[in-house]
Amino acid sequence: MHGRMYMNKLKIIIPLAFLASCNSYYFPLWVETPQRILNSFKPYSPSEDYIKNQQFSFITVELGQQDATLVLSSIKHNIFTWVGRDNVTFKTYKGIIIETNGLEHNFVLKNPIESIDSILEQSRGRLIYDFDNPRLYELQVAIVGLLQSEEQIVMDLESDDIGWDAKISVKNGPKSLATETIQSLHPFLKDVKLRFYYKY
Amino acid sequence: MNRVRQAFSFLLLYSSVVTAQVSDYIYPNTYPSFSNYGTLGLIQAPNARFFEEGTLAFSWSHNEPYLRGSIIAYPFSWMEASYQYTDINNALYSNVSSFSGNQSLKDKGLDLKFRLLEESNFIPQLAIGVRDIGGTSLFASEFIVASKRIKNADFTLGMGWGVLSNNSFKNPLGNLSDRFYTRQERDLDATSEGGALNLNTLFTGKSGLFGGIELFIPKSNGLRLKVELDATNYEREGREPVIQDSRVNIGLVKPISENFFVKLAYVKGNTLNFGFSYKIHAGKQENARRKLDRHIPVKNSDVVRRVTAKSDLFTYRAALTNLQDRNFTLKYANIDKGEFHVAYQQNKFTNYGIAATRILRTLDEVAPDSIDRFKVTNLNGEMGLNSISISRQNFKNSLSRKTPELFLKDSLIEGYTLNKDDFIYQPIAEYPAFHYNIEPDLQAQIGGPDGFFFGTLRLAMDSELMINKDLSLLGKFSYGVLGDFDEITLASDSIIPHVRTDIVDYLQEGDKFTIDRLQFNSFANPYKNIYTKFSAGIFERMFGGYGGEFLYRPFEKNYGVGFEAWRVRQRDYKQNLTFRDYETSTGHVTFYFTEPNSGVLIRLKGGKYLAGDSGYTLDISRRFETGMSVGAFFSRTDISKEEFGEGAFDKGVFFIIPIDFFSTSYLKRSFSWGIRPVTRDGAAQVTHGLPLWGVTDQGSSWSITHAWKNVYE
Repeated sequence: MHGRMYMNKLKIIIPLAFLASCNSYYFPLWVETPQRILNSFKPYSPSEDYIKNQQFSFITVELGQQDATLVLSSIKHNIFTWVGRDNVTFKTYKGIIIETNGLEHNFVLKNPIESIDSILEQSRGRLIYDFDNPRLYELQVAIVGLLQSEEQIVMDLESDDIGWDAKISVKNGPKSLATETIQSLHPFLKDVKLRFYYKY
Repeated sequence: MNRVRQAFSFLLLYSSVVTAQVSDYIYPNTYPSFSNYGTLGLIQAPNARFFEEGTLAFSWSHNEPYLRGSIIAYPFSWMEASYQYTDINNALYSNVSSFSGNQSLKDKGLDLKFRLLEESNFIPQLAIGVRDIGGTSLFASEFIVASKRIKNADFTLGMGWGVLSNNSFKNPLGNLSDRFYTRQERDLDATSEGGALNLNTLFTGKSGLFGGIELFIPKSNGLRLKVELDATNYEREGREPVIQDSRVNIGLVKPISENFFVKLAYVKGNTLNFGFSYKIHAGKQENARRKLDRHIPVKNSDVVRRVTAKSDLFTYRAALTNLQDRNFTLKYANIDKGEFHVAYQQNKFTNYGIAATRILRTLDEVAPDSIDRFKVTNLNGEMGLNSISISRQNFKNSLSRKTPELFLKDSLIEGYTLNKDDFIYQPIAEYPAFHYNIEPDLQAQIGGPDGFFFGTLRLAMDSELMINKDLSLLGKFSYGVLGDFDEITLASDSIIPHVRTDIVDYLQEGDKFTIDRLQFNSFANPYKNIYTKFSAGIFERMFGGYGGEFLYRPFEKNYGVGFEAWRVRQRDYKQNLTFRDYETSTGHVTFYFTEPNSGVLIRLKGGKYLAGDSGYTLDISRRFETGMSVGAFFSRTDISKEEFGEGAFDKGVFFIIPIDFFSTSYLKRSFSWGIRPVTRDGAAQVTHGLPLWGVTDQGSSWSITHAWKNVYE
């Protein structure tokens, strides 16, 4: 144990570095933060041990500089619900994200099962989105490109109403279960990347 | 019929809501953008827009013959302050080549803008502002401007004076006084000394008209087109006249991200200009990077609680180890009549409320059920600063509902004077204790006559040695790794004692190993609300000596009064353990006042300064909930303008940003940046480590509660 005097750093900059008849500044730089910033750009990947030790299926989520792990909470009508800390929830159907909660900007797909199945069968159609923050209901997003095989689904989407170009890309593994999804969630968010780890 | 009307009204309302919603997506990122002058505006002209309070921005533009970098701050939503450097390509720094070679002219300037009227449905936003106030006034102008957003267009119309007086007409202020009709001609030779304020020229001379439109392009992620009628009088601007072929400028601004904008414009009918800007909204915690180092729950807390129920000693030890694991130091503890009182130190959280609630969570997880009340006391060294007590059930209720307001309602937050007799459990501290931190230290000098930029990169070690509980030694040592300060030739021209202006000698002779600080400190809190500090040693690069501080800071009040006195001697330029001949006594009385609603801290300091001059310093800053501070200061002393030299009096601006704003972890450190137009010897103060006002920050009710709403993260 030790005593230590801690100082609140609210102090005016030491004027020593100001030169005569000119202008200068003083930088107290730091070591920790650049390291933290560098770390934040590393792609998130759980270790083998971590994967092995998990009891339940989970996904890793990379969204911009943030990453998280969400655990499978339920499967109902082939809709997988994944939950994480801070009430972050993702719902997926055939690997496609159909609803998010707890993000800064969220969306819900209307009639996701019918819409997605219809698109995959007919190679055309549209998805209807509800956005929040700011709220926008029943935005029609057209499928302008679709590539589908057993291994992957790639959809290009477009909304003329708001000028939003989006994409959904799902890679499938054995048992036709999604292994990786890259998807545009919301016009104000970067594309999200999910990796799926199943425990069954 | 009524139903039809109601249905129609509903549809009308609904459709307008839907339109508004779609418009948010069609026109994302409609933040205002910066003009070439580094303040919000059109291309050259200002507008009446402001960013939210707590925003900091950097803007850079290249508009021949000017290259301008600006730092812009919004301490309030109604105030914009911009400090800028301008490289003037069509003029030399001076006509004396031995002084400045062939370096182009550099100019510093301060711009201010204030909102007079906030925009409403029918009324435009109105603002008044000044450009290049004080200093050389090469770009001096004043303006009143109105901006109105209509759908996707932001219209601006304004009236300017000074450099903004093209498209001129008779100054309407002349109706108030004839003096407004005539503007004092710039004396370019005299203004090369710059630095003084000349308020008499404001809003004088001919008026000019400017205006334009910022048109947001739909579905283009915030791209906007700017067209303006330019009121810049290129005959009056800068050092040399610039040819203008057109009064209409046109430009594009493209947001690359929410905060980073680039721009391209065609101005004067003959010049293509480019620029960019970056901003951060550092005033609100919600804009800070989300923290990943959350509270770590105590493992098997049920089992722990069953163990701690057997003995108070087990409870103390469980608290000690679990708090230690969570970056808190338990210094004293006591259990009495169901209340568990823990005195702690912490150096991780800028928000003291987060620290306190995390400690409470840990205590709740380890304390036996017989404990029904917690009291956590924050110490700094051996000084008691504050104490928070709350019943266990009320804390749990507040935590489970994530209602910080409930915590404040049900708790008692008060000042605290340490009395060790209050505590049964006093873990023995081991002395001496040593802590150090190694970090790079960059110092730079911009805009001097010898060259635009000089800098040095040093490796610095900050350390603290706790000799015993009452005495510590604060040290800072650094070693120059690389730099080019040896190329500076500018010598001090000061006619008063060179207490600061020998900085070039200090930088050049201390280019390798230096002792930047070696300061013994002893702190005490002898009576309630009274704090003292005695220090001796090397305080800073230029001075060492001895002295002390006394601070009266009532916990519940928003004011404080401090007194400090120092006997100091000037250090040798090499910054080792030797001294020069100059020595003096200096001291100040300081009155502090924090305006609780805004977080504005006013510091008024009066006394004798290092060069023997007497006077006062007024320092006004605003602290936001993130811990960021923005402020400005000036000093007036009893020396004449001639004795002070360039700049006429000491002044400057500064801001401090907590590092953890950008980090996913909590870290109680900050990044500070400050600037003075000139450094002179007048109004210079000794800079000692650990000033009492900062050390006792937690000894203020406001400091603890002002950001309380964020305690549950």
